[in-house]
Amino acid sequence: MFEIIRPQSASLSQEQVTGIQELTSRFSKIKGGLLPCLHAVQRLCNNWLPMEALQLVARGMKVPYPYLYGVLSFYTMFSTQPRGKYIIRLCESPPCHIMGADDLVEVLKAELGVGVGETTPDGLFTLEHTACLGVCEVAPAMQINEVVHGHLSADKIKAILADYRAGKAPNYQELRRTTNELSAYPASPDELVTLRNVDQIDPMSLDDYLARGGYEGLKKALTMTDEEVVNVVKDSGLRGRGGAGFPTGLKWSFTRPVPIFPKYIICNADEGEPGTIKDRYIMEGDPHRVLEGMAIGGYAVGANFGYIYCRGEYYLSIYRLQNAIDQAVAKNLLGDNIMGTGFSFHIQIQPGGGSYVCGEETALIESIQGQRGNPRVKPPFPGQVGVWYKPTIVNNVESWASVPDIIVKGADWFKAKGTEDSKGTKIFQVVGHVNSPGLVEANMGLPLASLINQIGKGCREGKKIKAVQPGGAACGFITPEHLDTPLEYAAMAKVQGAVGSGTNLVMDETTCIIDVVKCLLYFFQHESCGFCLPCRRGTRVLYEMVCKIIDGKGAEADLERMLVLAKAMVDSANCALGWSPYSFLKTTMERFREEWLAHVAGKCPLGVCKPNSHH
Amino acid sequence: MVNLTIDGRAIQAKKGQTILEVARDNGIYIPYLCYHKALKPIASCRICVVEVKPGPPRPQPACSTYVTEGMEVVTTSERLDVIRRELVKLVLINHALDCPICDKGGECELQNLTHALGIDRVDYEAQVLTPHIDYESSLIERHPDRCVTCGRCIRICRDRVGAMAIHFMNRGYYTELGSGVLPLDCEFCGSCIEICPVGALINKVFKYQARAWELEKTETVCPFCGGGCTYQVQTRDGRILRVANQDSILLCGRGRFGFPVVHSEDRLTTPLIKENGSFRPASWGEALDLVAQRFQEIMAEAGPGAIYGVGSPRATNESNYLFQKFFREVLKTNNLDNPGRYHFVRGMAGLMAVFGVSQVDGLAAPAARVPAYHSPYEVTEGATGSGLMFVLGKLADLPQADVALVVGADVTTELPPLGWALMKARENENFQLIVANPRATKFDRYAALSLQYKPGAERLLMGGLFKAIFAAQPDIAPVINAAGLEEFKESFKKFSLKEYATKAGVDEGQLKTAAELLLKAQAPAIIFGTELLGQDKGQENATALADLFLLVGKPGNPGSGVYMAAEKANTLGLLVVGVLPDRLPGFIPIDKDPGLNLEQMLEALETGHDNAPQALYALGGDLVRWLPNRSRTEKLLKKLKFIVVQDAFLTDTAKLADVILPVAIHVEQEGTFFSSDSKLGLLRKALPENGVRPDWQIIMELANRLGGAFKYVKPAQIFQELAAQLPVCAGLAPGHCFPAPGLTAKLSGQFVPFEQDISLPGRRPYTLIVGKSLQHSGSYTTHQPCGTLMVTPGARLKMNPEDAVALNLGAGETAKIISSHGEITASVSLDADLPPGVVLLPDHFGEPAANRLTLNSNLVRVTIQKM
Repeated sequence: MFEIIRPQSASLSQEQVTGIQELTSRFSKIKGGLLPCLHAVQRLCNNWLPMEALQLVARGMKVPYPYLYGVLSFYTMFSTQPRGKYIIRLCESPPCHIMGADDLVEVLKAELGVGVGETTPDGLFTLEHTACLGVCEVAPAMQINEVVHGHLSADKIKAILADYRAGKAPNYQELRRTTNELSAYPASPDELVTLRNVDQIDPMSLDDYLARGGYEGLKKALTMTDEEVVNVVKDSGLRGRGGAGFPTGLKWSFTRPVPIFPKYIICNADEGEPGTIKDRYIMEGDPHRVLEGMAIGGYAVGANFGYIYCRGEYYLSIYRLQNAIDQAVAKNLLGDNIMGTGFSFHIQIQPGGGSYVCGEETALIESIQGQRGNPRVKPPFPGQVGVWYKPTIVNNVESWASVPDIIVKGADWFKAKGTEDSKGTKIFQVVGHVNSPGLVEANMGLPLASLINQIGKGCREGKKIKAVQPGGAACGFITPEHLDTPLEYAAMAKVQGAVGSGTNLVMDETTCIIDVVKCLLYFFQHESCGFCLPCRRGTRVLYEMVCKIIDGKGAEADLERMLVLAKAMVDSANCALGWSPYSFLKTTMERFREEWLAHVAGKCPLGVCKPNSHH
Repeated sequence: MVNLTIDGRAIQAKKGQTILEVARDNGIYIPYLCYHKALKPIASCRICVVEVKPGPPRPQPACSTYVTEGMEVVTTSERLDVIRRELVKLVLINHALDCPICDKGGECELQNLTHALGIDRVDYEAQVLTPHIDYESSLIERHPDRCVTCGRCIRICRDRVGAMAIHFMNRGYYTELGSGVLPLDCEFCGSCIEICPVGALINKVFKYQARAWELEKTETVCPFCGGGCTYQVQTRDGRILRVANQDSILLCGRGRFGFPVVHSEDRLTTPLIKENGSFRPASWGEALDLVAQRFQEIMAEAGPGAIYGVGSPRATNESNYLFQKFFREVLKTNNLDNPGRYHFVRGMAGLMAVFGVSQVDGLAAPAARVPAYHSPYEVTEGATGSGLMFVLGKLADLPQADVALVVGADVTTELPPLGWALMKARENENFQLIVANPRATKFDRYAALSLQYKPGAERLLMGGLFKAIFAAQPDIAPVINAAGLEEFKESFKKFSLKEYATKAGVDEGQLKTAAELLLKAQAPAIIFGTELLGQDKGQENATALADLFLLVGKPGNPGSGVYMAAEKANTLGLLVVGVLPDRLPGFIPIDKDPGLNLEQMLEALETGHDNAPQALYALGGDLVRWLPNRSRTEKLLKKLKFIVVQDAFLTDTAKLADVILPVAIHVEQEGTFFSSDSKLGLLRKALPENGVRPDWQIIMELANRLGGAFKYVKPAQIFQELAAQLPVCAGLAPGHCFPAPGLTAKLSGQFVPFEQDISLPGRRPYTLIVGKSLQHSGSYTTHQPCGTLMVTPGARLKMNPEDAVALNLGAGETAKIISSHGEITASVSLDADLPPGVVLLPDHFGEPAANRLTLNSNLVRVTIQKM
């Protein structure tokens, strides 16, 4: 009911007007050109979208202005108010939150002399909050325009701002990595699949990729029948690595026989699940692997076009992927009539606009189509009715990156790895209160304790682990007694955890569970698309109920009411976002009931929660 | 059929139905909020969830889950009850419980839902947001604090109207209805108001006029275009307070907000007689006696042909029928015509030249007794028909077309329901739209191909299109039995495809693409309207399009047809009932002594020919306002000795009259209209007449004073007599179109070459299109307190911003527009939809009078100056 934040006016220069007209003329010819066009126009207009620019976009893209406004107001990366030269996005999601992001916002406010959402009078900085940036291994973190700054402290922030003020803004394209190199982490005990080239090759070099067997999977696939390719992937036991774990080959086998064309391939690179950082390593370190996997998938199901929907904040990933696409096309490893086989496959990158729910495959599809990122009602599933309402295979970056080696080395090679229940390797991430947050690609079934102790080098500063939230923000909390659980789908489900994206948020004994739950609920109400009633209002109501409890105004009955509401959301919400709160509410209320009750009684036992200071 | 059970009850349903539809059809109540029968389900409120076996463990939304064989559905259970109550409680958080002042009170779906679920308290809280209520926009008031975010308004605006003027903005808890601008800039059709389940969108015209339950409701026909929408007039104490289409919800702005003209203070309430240059009120008896007396005198002096009749596209079939009967049987002359002569009649003539006049054979004799407003002819097996009426498309079928070519029409402005039908057609993913127009129009947004040609170059565009079709498929064989194809092909030898393209101002490639689309179409539709027909060569335009349909049309396939938009409610009916100088009811040609048509009549007046009439009897038909070259019309009408005008308002023509007879308008009378797709609409009387009379009664009184013996007591009797003369309307009943689907069409056509030129003489730098405004219907809607005047209170000269810069003109400034025939001034508005060099001026308002500039066409070259 913030009825219409009227976009501000600006007098555009003739250059800007011509520039916008050129952009709309170019993007109006590309299917799904609206979001990329808005990003480009925003760059041209100094980081924001004035009314005059939007009117030109509306006319040029043949989208009525109210509609355009409705779409752009969905995405947090667009602004209709003037912003500074540098946009500071401070992450406020759980992994950064438990690492002290709250204190940092105060530092930034004081340093800049402005509040969140405001711009410094010199027009240099705009301070914004953001949901997870996908750089949790260096939490707490912020992004200034394209560049991420991690391991933040008050001093570090001051130094960074001083650099920017002095005109020393780093160029993201020259950075080797957004955060750390893979070699910064302890080595995997197992043979690598998706990460095997990362840090071993120059990600900007196709020759390097080819020298390590690159595109051999595609070449081999093109000598097989489409059905054979699908069967190999099916036999390999590969399950979707985005979070839901649906068998990849099975998904392909539903779409391959559908006689509707064109079909599409989508790579879900909207890595937004808090704590999840893995896809970025693949895209930044070995971009061709993703393209190769997609092309194989395209051949297998009969698609000739693929989209990579990459979250807008992953500038370096987009840069490296685009470079890889251009190189592959130049060598005819992508494009028309690939290597003379008659098979054509094109790939287009779609940048996201700052929306977690766009990682849900049908919301992602809507977003590609230039709409608000509302998940569709399913069925039908994308395999039947996907992007542009055609059969579409959506798989996660890690899934696509697994495909080339499966084709080259065979299904048996892949399924020999892992456990009976879960085959192959998976990238696991350990973030939060560990000494060395990071990731590892290991065979499925790696015990959670090994991940925490060997890769994460144990709980920080010798403290005790209080809880782990495996899988991502949508999952339940487990306790130290569950640490020997192998990271595989069945075993994790048994303890009300999940493999999810493979992330594991470790919380030590100084962590207030209720505070983390509040942070999670804030995240979900912020990221709810608003399409379906249970989630649109339920997430907000739950968030405010936790706030009320923290404020000492709750009652024990509120806990039951929260569960009733969260359960009604599970039973009625349109997509998994609305189903999410139930899992962590239920597990924390079961496993940390005393702590909940203490808050109901008006006391945060650890003194973490600050009453009456909520968003 | 599909067999399933709902709550244990065995039910048979149609394949493709949703659980909600099946439950509703079987009297099983499933609560919902976002579902509406006029929209596709989106399942966003989730209140309609039901348990389904076999199926996923979660309950499924009944509105978007399709029934399958063997399905077991449970619509009520404890689990579902919890979900629904939780959900409705969520809706009610911070909902403005201002029911006493909410105009939706008594017809609010949220009230009903809360009541049905027995929710007596809301034990949830969430941030209270400041509602920024939009009191600023015209006609529509927006109350975000009452919004339930069901998206019905957005969907009807986007999917049915195609305006896309509102959308959700923000997200999550902050999601709400937005427009990006304030005040609203939309089509102001108000369909969003009608479909809103709550009072988030309020009709400003209706607000605080009455409570919903106090209204009397009458189904009748909307009079503001040839679309033939039926709607419900809601009245209290002799006044219309609101209208609604409760079926599709859709009405246009004129339809929804135009009704207050009925209560306009400008309405004529008593007969007027002109004395010494000014009008004085008179009794009906005196006025009618005077008319009868003057007619007799004039006829005695100059013969019956001295009285000329002009029928009215706003009057009913019954009145127009009686009007021509009066002329033919009582006055004994064929000297009558109708204002459609300058557009719609040209279109019919073009179609007739190619497809012939319509006729139906093999019918049994008419039945003696049939229900009121039904044709006495039954459609019997073996009955056949032919001619143009069999190619005239029906709006209800248009959604089945797979390719639609729109030429020279701004669809929604010309005929809003045609726009809705195109939106419906778009639901078929294979549907392709081609829009050809000198300026950008709304439907370009949805077009696979937009051809922006030079103003007046329609026939060169068509020439190019034929050329491209013949090049793509030299051996093309029309589906319709057609003669003269070879000679017709010869007529395109003059230019190459490239030359056609250049002359028309389009791309050669575009013509080829259009040709390809039309050639592969299984059900092509061709759409045009008054703007195209209003040119001096409007008939040639229609001929070209009729030829195109003859070439590529597939009239056997539903949706394939020629759709000709009529401007007014009964434009087609006038022709069907014979208000033509050369045709009797049912298009039967008059061989002996046809009368003069309007153009010939004016010419005769101009030349002073001895067949020139001396008196005019105009049933509405404001000739001064609507005919091109206004000063000529005024001059010529002043030559007449006696003018009688029958109208509801003091029109420009009425001002020249000697006697004015005030008439009842649509809601004050009974009778029928034929929409432009030939649907019979039944007017029902919802209001008393208050001193005015329906046209038919006046005509009857006059006829009887002049020796006639008309003895009708109600319009249904006239319809009965009329319908017996219309075998072509066999099987007709209210709400149905003719010819009836049961008739076997024996179509044939003759290719008729058309003139391939641009008729736009002169050297002045701008081309003025005299067009229409979306918010107006003739001059009818220009009377206060018509609601649409709040949106479009006057006519502005629309021009491209670049032209405005060149002319040093800004928005709102006054421009002088000069043609070879006259000059006027008009206020300017900037509109990038117009290409540079082309300007548009709507013609509804008395001033600026666009027809002071025109000669014989609605296109004219003009010079524009800053005042």
